[in-house]
Amino acid sequence: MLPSGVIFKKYSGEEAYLVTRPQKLVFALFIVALFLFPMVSSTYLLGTVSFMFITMIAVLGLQITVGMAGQINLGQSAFVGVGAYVTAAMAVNYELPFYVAIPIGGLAAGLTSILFGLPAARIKGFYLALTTVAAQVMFPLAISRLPRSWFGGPNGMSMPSMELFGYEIWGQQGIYLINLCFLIVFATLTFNLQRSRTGRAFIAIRENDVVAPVMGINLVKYKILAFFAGAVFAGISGGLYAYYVTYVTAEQFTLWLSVIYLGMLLIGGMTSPLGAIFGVIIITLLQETTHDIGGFLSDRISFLDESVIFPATNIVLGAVIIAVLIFEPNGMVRRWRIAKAAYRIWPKPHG
Amino acid sequence: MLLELKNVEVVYSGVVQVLRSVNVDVPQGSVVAILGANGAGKTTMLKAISSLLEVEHGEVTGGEILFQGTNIANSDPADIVQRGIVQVLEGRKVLEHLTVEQNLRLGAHFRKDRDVVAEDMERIFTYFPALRGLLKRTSGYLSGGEMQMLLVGRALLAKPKILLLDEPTMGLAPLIVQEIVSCLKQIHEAENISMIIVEQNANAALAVADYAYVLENGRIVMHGPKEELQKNQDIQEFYLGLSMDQDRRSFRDIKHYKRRKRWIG
Repeated sequence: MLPSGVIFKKYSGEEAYLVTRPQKLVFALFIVALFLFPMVSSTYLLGTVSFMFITMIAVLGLQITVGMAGQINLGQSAFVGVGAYVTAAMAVNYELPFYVAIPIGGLAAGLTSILFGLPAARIKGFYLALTTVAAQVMFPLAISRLPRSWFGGPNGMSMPSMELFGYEIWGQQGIYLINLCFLIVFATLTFNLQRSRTGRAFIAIRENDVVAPVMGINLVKYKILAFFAGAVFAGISGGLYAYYVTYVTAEQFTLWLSVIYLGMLLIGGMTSPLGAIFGVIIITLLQETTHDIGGFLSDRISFLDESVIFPATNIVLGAVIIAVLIFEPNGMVRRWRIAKAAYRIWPKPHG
Repeated sequence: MLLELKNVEVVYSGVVQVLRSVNVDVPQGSVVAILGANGAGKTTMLKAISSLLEVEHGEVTGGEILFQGTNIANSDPADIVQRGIVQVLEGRKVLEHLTVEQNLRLGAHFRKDRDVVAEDMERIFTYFPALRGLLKRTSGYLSGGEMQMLLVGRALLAKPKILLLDEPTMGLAPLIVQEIVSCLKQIHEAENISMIIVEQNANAALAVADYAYVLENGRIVMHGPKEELQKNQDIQEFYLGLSMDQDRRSFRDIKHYKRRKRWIG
C-alpha cells in the first residue's frame, strides 16, 4: 500500500524506501534526533540504547543469514565472540585504532563462519542448526586453549579506550555516537542488500532451493555468502561490544545469547531488516522493564530475593516469544505494515 | 544438433534406476514433445538435462548429454543455465513472497547487460500483456494461468537457447491451456528458441511440437514426427483419448509396441 498520489515510473522508484517528501523529512529529523539524544538522556538510558545498537548489528546480520537466505544459524553469538576477541587482540597486541581493529574483527568472524557455513551447501534445517551449535560449543574451548599471548587464555582480555584523531573517546556519550555511526552504516547495508541482485538471490534460496538454481543462482556460493555476511555483522557487533564492556571473556558469548538473538528476530519479523530493529527494541524494553519490576518486588516482598526474581524475567521473555509466535508468526513488522496500510486508506475500512 | 541425449541412464540413491538408455535429439530451432504416463521418467529426464537431480540424490550414471557438442551431464546447475538451458519446473514454482517484477528480475540473475534486460522485459510483455498490469503484485496471489505466464517469462529473461517446459498446462482451464499453447508457439517462432515440452495433455503438446517421443518405464518406446504419431493407433488410444471403435478395445489388442521384444534401448 502506497501513500496516496504516488506513482512509480521505474523499478528503482518502486524499490525506494522513502517515497514522499514528508517521509524523507521525518526520517532526517529522526536521524538528527538520534545524534542529539546524548544531550538530553541520562547516562544509564544512554548506555542501554548504546548496547541496543550493538545488539541490532548482530541481529541485522542474523536477519541476512536466517531471514533473507533462510539458513538457520544458532551460533551467532560465537561469531560475535570471534569479532570481540580479534578486535581486542588487534587493539591490545598491535595497538591498532578501533576503526581498523573492529573491521578486522568483523572479517575474522566472517572467515570463521565459512567453516561452519560450508555444511549448509549440503544440509538444511535441523541438521544445519546443529552444525552452527557446534560453533557455539567450540568457541569457548578454542579461546581458552589458544596461547595466552594471543587472546589472554581463560582470563580474557582488557580493552584500551577508543581513540579518534589523537583524542580519547570517553564516556557513554562518545561510545553512543560511535555505535550509532556503525549502526547507520550496517543498517543501510542490510536494507540495500535486500533489494539488490544478491539479496534477491538470497530470498530465492530461502523460498525454494530447487527453483533458485533454475535461475542460474549458484546455491553453494550464495549460501556461504549469506553466512559470511551475517557473521561479518556479528563480528562488527562483537568489536563494538568489546569496547563497550571494556573486558572480554569467553563466558559472555553463550548459546543462550544466540537464542535470544533469534528470539529478537522472530518477534520483530524475519523477512525484513526492520524486523531485526523492532525485535531488539521490544526485547530490550521487555528485559529492562521486567528487571525494574523484579527489583521493585524484591525490595518489598521478603521471600522474593534476587535469586528468584531475575531468573523469572526469562520466563516472561519466553512467554512473550510464544505469544508472538501464536498470534503473529510473521512478527511485529507485519503489524507495522498493516497499521501503515490502515492509516493510508483511512477512513475506509479496506482498500 | 543443439541437444543430444545418448544412452542416458539415471539412478536415484544408487539403487533406483529411472531412465534406461534414453536417446533424444533436439535439433536447433525445433520443438520436441515428451509424452508418457505418470512415473514414466519425463520429469527425471528434464532434471537430468538441467542437472537438478542432485537435490533428490539422483545422478546420471551412464551415457552423455551433449549440448552444442559438450557433455553437460552432472555439471553445475547454475552453469547449465548460463549455457542457455532453462527449465520451467512443474507445479508453478513462483517465488511467492516476491512481486512479479522481482521474480522476472531473478530470471535475469546472472546477466550483466542491464539495458538489454529492460528491453527483454518489454518484449515479454508483448507475449504476455497480462503481466504488465501485475508487476507490483505479490506473485503468490496470482492465478494459475498468470503464474505459468510469469514462469515462462522469467525463463525467457535468462536468454535461453533451449527451454525445458515441465507440464506447462497442468491444472489449467481449457481456455487458458489454449492461450499458453499459442503463446509458446508465438515465442518459438519469434525467438527461434528450441523447446522440450513434457505433457500429460498430449493434444496441447502436439499442437506446438514437431517431433515427439513416448516414454514408458524409463525407456523411449516410440518416436516420430508429429503427424506420424498423431495417426498412430496407440497414441490415439492412450494419449489423445480417441478410439477407432465404439467400445474401448482391450489393452492387449491395442498395445502393438509392447509385443515387440526390444533388446537394445
